[in-house]
Amino acid sequence: MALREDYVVLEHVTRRFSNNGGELVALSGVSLTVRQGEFISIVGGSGCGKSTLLRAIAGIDPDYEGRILVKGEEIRRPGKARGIIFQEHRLFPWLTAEGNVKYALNGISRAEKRKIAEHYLELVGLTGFEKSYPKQLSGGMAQRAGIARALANDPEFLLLDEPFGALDAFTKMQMQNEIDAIKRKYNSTMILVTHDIEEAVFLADRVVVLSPRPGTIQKIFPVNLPRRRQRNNTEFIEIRRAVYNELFTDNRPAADYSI
Amino acid sequence: MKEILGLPPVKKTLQKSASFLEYIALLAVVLVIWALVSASGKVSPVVMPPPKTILDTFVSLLRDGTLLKHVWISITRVMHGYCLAAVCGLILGTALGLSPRLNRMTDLIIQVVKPIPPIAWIPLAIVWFGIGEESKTFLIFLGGFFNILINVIDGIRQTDEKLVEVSRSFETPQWKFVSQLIIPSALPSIFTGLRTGLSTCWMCVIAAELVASNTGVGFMIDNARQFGQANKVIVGMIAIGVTGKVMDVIIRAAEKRVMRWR
Repeated sequence: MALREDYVVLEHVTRRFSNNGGELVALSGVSLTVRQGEFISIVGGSGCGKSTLLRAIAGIDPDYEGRILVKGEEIRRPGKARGIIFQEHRLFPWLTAEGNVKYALNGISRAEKRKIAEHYLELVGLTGFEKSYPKQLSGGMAQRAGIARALANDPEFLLLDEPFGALDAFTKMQMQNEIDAIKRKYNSTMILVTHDIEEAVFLADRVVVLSPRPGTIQKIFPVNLPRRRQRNNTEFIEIRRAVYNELFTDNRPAADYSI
Repeated sequence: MKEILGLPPVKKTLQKSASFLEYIALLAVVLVIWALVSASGKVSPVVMPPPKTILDTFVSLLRDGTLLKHVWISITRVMHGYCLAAVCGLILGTALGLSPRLNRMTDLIIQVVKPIPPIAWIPLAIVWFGIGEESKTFLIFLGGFFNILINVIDGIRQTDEKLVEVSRSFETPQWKFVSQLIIPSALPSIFTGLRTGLSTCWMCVIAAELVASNTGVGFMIDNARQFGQANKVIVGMIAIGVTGKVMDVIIRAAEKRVMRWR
């Protein structure tokens, strides 16, 4: 099956919020076409509208102007064809790890649900913790369970909203490697929102830099390096530096970045 | 906590008994003062019988079955009204919690009727249902219903929006959304309602029996008052208190069992 060149199409996506009688333009005329199987990282500072954009693509926030098409269909509400991994694990505290993954599954038999849950929990390395409640899991393990849940519907399209922001540096790198592995295994299309430049470059085929207020696409950096990237490879460092310089050419606040 | 500290068993036992002593100390002090005041002879034993008399009365009322009979009748009444209140409160509360529109339409009447204490309903209850069981069930129902209703609505309203977003992204069917997300997340609040509701029901049954009844603990203490038996009144009151506490313990245990994930 041929991969679509126009798997995700953003056409002049604009999002306004009204606040205290005034108007805040969070996104302004964002246009982008994403190939099937492509990994896009979106970087930008706090309030540049990167999460707003992701929520619009997910369908959680339908009040945008312009068009968002996935496989040619306009998105105005969430659906299971798009798996979302949030910054917080967002597991249901009253369901076990397995129960949480099963919650994502509808319209199939119990046995099938169990098999799928088992499969994805194993994939994220949670075998043996199926019956644990979220409270009993560490931050990293809970996030893994969240990833297993997002994968459970076999989404060929994954949205990641600063998924590792709350994890310690070590766990974070491990999780980035796992996302990279999932990408290689399923060739899913993924859009990642992050403020971690290294993470963005490590995972992306293209890094999109958003400028803040209103959020517009400032520049796009292709990352043509083979996967299982080495973080200390010269080319890797060069791209990382280029993205960094792009973000800090203006007098923009530096507080939100780590390289 | 104690397990984490890894204290040796003896020390643990000591700590446990120390906290038990703390738990009962005040009650013991009150009893001692009561006994001392009675012994001083400054208060008439008819008005305020000494603890020993209370104990004797308690034992004799227990022996001849009077106490248990009346307590049991009161408990049965509460169970009728309370179960009705719980079922109606849960169903209506869930419906109103899920539908902002229904909630808006019913809010005014709920807010006006809720502050009317069940005792103020007694005259009307008697006019409507007479002095039989129905009027008592009705009063007990009122006492429990609003507590449960309000808490269920609140609990459902407070569902974490973030989890709702997650659920929507899976195209979850409505029944599953309600049974596996809305209800479990509202459970702490629902249990608060069930607990306060039950204690209100228990107060209502006593009030109803004080006014119009010839059975139940409420009747028992009112009847004893007419014969000037303060000792019997106090035994009845203690029975009311203890039964209320036991009911609370049972509901808390159920709560803990149901919400194992906490």
